[in-house]
Order: sequence, then structure tokens, then C-alpha cells
Amino acid sequence: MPGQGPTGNTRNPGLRCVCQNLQKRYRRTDVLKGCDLILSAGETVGLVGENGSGKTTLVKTLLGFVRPSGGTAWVSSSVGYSPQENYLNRRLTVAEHFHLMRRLNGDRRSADAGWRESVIDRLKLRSVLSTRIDRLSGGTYQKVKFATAVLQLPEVVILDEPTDGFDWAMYLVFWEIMDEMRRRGISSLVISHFLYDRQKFDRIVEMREGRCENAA
Amino acid sequence: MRTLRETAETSAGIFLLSAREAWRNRAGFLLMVAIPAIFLGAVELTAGEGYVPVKLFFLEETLQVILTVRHVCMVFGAAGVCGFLSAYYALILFHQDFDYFRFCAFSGMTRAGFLAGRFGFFLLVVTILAAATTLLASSLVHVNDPAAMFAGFVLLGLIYGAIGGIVGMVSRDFLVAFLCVAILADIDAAWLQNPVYYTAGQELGIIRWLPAFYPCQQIFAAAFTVDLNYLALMGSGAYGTVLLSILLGVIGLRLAGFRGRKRRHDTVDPLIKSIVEIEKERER
Repeated sequence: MPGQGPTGNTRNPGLRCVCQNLQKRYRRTDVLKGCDLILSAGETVGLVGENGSGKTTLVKTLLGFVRPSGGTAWVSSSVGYSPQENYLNRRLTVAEHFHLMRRLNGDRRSADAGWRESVIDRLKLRSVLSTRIDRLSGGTYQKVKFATAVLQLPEVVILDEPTDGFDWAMYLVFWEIMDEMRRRGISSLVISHFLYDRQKFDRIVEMREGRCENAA
Repeated sequence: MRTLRETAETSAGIFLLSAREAWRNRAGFLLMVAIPAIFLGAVELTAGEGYVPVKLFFLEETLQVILTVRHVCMVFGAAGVCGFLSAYYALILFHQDFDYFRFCAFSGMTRAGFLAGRFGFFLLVVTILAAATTLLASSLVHVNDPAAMFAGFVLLGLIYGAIGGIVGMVSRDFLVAFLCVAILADIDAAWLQNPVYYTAGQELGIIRWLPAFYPCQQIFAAAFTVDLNYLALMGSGAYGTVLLSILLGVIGLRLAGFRGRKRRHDTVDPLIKSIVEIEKERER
């Protein structure tokens, strides 16, 4: 069935994200020279490329943080995003941050409470819920960013270098959560310099000279 | 109706969150003690009891009063304290962690709700600072009209707060922004507006165009006379309105991003375009 994930899903089949001929020019430098990317429901796609190849610019343009110079970008309005930068409000506790995000995203699905609790437990975040964000270690900070993107069970999750700072056990937990999301029909775009476990992805797209190419 | 309710809820949430952030900002509390102690302590230790003439500009007349240097500098020091601390708190509210609020806007926070909540808390901070400064100044020197002086401090706080917020929005680096605010407050509120300086100043035209001029005039008029200074009130109101509007506009633009604005479809394959339209329709 078109758009259905490899393991089947219960959500809306169809597209989650489309960009076509997406271009971005910073002064005299063409960072994106016409990127085409389609993300279907339930698909897990890896986006790789060298440093400065335009991966983060592609995502920021796709999400609307950066205005494109040309082309089009569309992404489902139900999107979870974990940026590469450290953006979290340093004076809030982890629980306050999660609470705010839940309110902003609309706390409408009561069934999601179980999922939230399970993600918090699996990422071992329960013990730091009352800790202020500026007092977290680098790895825990990264886990909070990842949890922020996935806690609300959006239709599409975009993760920029999500496993930086994870130890091996947490890396395995990360994939456990990603696999469960895939089973629920959630699409994921995972950005990295390089990707281990290529079999975990449905597709790998490589950014090369400002263009997206399907990697072998 | 739902949007209005959402905006009100967001606004209340952001107000409480701002209060929490301010409470946890220990440096702010330290500055609230240190700045008045340094500014007013320096006046207390160094200012003499000699008399100086001070010019006050009213709508229809210019008044010259004779006061002691200590009296003048104490009120002027209090104005510097209020201006500097307001600018500092605006910097904290509108600069630090702003990327977080951009992320919140991306996650569904309404801009109007954010602006209402954040500005509401900023107004509260300015009011508290103005009240504390009025009490402090009144306890150190005789003040003729504390209520009018309080109004002057509020106006000064709003003007310098708006400047602090704008600098914070423009600068990416907190230290650079903090330095700019300190220099601006030093040159304007803490030097040029000193009545001892400007009364004998060679070119008053320049001093009169500076943002701290009108609120400082209001503060001095309230402290040393029994008359309301309408010129100072109107001037401060105009400056405050313009600067706060600029701050609101800059914040609104930075929060907006590209999301929600018109996308370019001119180069898109018609098939993809129609698929996207179908998906959008399904979302609606």
C-alpha cells in the first residue's frame, strides 16, 4: 500500500514530508542546490553527509526555521524535532520542560500517558525530572532533547545527531524506541555524519554538494 | 474563541514560567543588592553638602532650583539604579534562552500569548524595581512627591527595559549585549542626565534627545518641586511607546520564522503540488 511503513501502521497512510527542488543560498554560497526528499508514513530514513554538506540547513528549511531561496517544502503539522543545538531553557527543570511541551502540543490523547511514562523510564530520566536543565550532564541533556521530540507521538520525528553523547546501552534504547515508533506508523528522519546499523533504516539519503542522493 | 482561550492560557503559563526563571536567576538578586549599594554608597561617601543650581524643564517654563550636591546625586543615582536594573532584567527576559521560545513557537505556542505573558512579567518587574527605588530614595533624601517619582521610575524602567530588550534581540552574545546596556546606561542615565552636568552643559539639545532625559526630568521634578511635569510625562510616554513597539515588532519577527508564511510553489512539479494539497486537506 502506498505510504505504508515496512512493518505496517495504524495511522494515516500517505506522505509526511515533501521537499522538491529545495534551494538555499547564503550570500554567495549555494548550500542547497535543489534537494528532493519524500518521507512516507512509517518510514525511517537516514540522512548522511560530510560536515557542511547542508544536512542541518535542509532540515531547518524543511521545518520553516530558515526561508528557502527556491523550491518547496511541506511537512506534516504534527512534527517532533530534536535540533543539534543546545536550545533547552537552562532555568527550567526537566519536568517543567516536558509539562510545557505537552501543553503546547495539546494534551488531548490520554492514552499517550503510558507511552510518555515508558519513554521517561527507558531513557532513565525519572531520577532527573526535578533537576534543572543547566545542571544536567551532556548525555542526559541529549536524552531530554530526544524525549522532547518523541514524547507527544507526532506523525513525523526529525532528529539531528540524536545519539551524540549516548553510551552503548542508551544507543540500544534509542533504537528500541525508534522501532516502536515505526510500528506505530511514525516517520523518522535521522541526521548524522555517519550511521551505524544501516539495516535499521528503510532508506539512506546522502547529501552531496547540496543535493540529496539515495545511497546504495 | 478557542484561539483566544489558548492565547490566554499560554500567556498565563509564560508569565508563571518567567517568574520561575527570574526567581532562579541568583545573579539578578545579587545585582539588585549590589547596584544600589555601589551607586548610592558612592554618593553617600563622596558627595558634598555644597549647593548647586539645577535646571528643570517644564512645558511652559524652565525652573532653576538650588540644592545640595548630595541631594541631587542621590536622586540621580537612584535613577541610574532603576534604569540599569530594568535593562538587565529585559535582557534576561528577551535575550537568554530565546532560542527555546522559538522552539516553543515552533511547537505550537502562540506569539500573542508569549508576548502578553513575557511583557506582563516585565511590567511587574519594572513596577517592583520602581517601587523599591522610590522607597530607597525617599528614605535617603526628602522627596516632595513620591507618587510622581514612582511614575518617573516606571517610565525610565520601561524605556531602558525596551532598550535592553532591543539590544538583547539584536546581539547574539549575552556579554556583548550586557556591555552595551551598561555603557548606554552609564553614558545617558548615569552621566549626561546628571543635573549637575547638564545644567552647565554647553549643548543641551543633544542631551534632550537622549532616551533618559524625559523620565529623569519627571523624577527630578517630583523630588524637588510640587508641580507635575507634563512635558516630561508626554516625552517619556512617546519614547516608551516607540521603543516598546520596536521591541514587540522585533520579537514578533524573530519568533515567526518562515512557518505559516506563504510558501513558494512556482517551481514545484504539479503532481507533487497536488499530493501536498491533498495531505493538507486531510490534516484540516
